Amino acid sequence: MLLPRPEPADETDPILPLINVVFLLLIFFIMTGALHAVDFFAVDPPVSASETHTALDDTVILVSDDGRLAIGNVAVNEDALQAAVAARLAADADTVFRIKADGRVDAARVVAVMERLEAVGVRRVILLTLGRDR
Amino acid sequence: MQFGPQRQTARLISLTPLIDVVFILLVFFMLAASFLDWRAVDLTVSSGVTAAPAAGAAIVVGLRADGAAEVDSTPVDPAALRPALAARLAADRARPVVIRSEPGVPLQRAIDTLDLVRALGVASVSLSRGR
Repeated sequence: MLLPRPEPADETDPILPLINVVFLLLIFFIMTGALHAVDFFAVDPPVSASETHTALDDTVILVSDDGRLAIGNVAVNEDALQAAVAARLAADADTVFRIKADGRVDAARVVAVMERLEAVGVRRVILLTLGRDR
Repeated sequence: MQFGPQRQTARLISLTPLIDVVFILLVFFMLAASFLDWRAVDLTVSSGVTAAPAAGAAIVVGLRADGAAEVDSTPVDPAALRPALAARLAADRARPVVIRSEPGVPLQRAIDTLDLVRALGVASVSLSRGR
């Protein structure tokens, strides 16, 4: 018995559902994931029970586990940090500074950084943490 | 010279390069996307070194580097910190609380204490350092 040769156009059709799924996954990851620059050094943030969600921006002050500082992905010492914060405050007086500190760093070190910020007129800072449920 | 019909080759654009590119994009976004759930702990910057508002009325929770805790300079078992604070706050829930960490206390412990204090309904909590 001689069967008719199948149409070549049929060969691509089984791939179409795969492409659909891959496109959906692609759109999901584009929409839900947040892309941002890699931190100057790795920071393992503490967890808290805070319910306030927040996003990252360029006013993040990094404090590493051994106490090093960085702002805007530039490593700074305390004096340079104060200068950078003062410059940002001069540009926009309502700037809210976020401190992204490692959970293992000395709490006193973070307080020392906050005191430095206070000295140049910062009244309010946000400490970045992860949610407790993670 | 005569060319035959080329329907077989020019009929369809191949999907394989498209799938390649879409897969590469998918892998890129899967690897580069960050799904961390950032939370904000709002802090008023009052170090205690400069004028802390109504410092006399504040409850000072001291965290010591050896794991001990104290409330207003009275040693308290860290596990019993919550009832000790609740007793002091029972009279006046509006009293501010200052969490004073010794050098050597990790930030996570200070934040755990801060969570505990916030859970008691205290509106004004600040971090401080001392000794």
